[in-house]
This record gives sequence, structure tokens and C-alpha cells, in this order.
Amino acid sequence: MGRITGEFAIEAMDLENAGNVSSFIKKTLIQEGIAKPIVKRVSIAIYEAEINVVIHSYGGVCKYEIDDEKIFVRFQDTGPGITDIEQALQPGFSTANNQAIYYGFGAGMGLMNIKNASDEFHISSSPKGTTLDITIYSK
Amino acid sequence: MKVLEILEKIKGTIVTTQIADVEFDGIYAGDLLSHVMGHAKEKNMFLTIMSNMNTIAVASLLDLPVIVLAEDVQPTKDMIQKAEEEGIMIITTTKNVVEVIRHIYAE
Repeated sequence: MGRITGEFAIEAMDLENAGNVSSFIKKTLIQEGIAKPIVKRVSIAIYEAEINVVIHSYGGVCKYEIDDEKIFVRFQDTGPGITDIEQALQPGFSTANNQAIYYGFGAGMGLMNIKNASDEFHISSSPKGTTLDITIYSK
Repeated sequence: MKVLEILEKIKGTIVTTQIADVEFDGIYAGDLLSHVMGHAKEKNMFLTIMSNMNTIAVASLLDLPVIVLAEDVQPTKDMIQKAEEEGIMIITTTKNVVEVIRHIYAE
């Protein structure tokens, strides 16, 4: 397939459009003939990461790279950052606001779902922003 | 299981128009979308009271063919349109989640 790359801007608190990035990438992977279990894992990881940028950050970007071996996605936002990453990874821990909860978010399962769905998962954070790298191998 | 086999049992109304019947395999009931993302299986019926565009997004990403909105929760026009684009059926019912499950599996 060669190499497919792309980039999306993600708006803070744009809850109605949350899911567009994951939906687009899922469709791309299906078109490229990626196996269904892989597509499912990518969909879960990217959706959760996308939601995190929407409900927790001031906005950010998602860059993706698909090649013959893997799907790599980087989410980069502009803050305010995660105070304690270890705590944020605990199932059930959430800092989601009421509006996000009203939309069905805030279960405190997002990062855990991403970690479980990914082959490689790196997160770094400061008050200036959070960067999350997800790699899922397709072979 | 086919939706048309259980529609009368749950007193359901199909609010999408493009698909006449849908096959599903088991039910996942839940409202917190990350739990659904983490646990629902392909082809499950998605039984929920959470009605917004994200409900459709989750169903689409996980290949859940039918959403049942319990307790008379109604979808918006945008939701119905999006569901139709994604080939997902939406059903509404006045019954609650427990009643829906009981009626579907009642002998």
C-alpha cells in the first residue's frame, strides 16, 4: 500500500463531532484491506484518544501514518496537561466535567482502553500539552 | 437473532428507514461510552439510554448493527441521518433496559 499519512485538527469540547477522526481512519484501514481485529483495536484506541483531546484539552492535532507494517498515530494537544499520569491510567479515575459526563464520557476507562488496544503506547505531559503516541502493528 | 423476531416483544419502533431487518448476536447494555468501547463485541445489540452523536460513533466503530434506545429516549434527526449513513438501525422503546433484555430472552 505504500505509506498513507494525514492530519486532523481536533477542537476542544466539540462533542458532536468527536469520533470523526477515528471514523475516517477506520474507513481508510478497511479500504486498505487491514484485518478486522486490527481495525477494531485501532478504532478503539483512536476514538478514546480523540475524545480525550476533545474533553480534556484546549484542542490539538492528530497525525497518522499507515504503512505495510503498522498504524502510528500521534495526538498532540496544547494543554493543560495531565498532573499525574499514573493516576490518570487507573481505571475509574476521571476529571471529566459535567458536560462530558452528560454525553456519556468520564468513565475513567479511556487511557486504559488505549493501552490495552495498542502494541506501543507512550504518553508525556506538561502544562503546555500532552503527546500520546499509539502504534499498532498490522502484521 | 433477527430484529424483526424481537421487535414486538420489546414493543419497539424502528426509527431509521433504510434497513428493514438486521441480524444481531447478543446484547451489550451500557451508557458509559468507554465501557462500551472496551467491552462490546461485534454484532452486539447496543442497548442504552445514551442518545447523542457519540452513541452512533461508538456503534459504527465497533460494528454494532442496532441501537435500542430504552425508556422512550428519542434520537435527534442528525443521529438518525448519521445512523442511516453508517448502516445502523435505531429502535426506540418505552421499556427500560432490564425489561428489554427479559423480553428478548423470554421463552
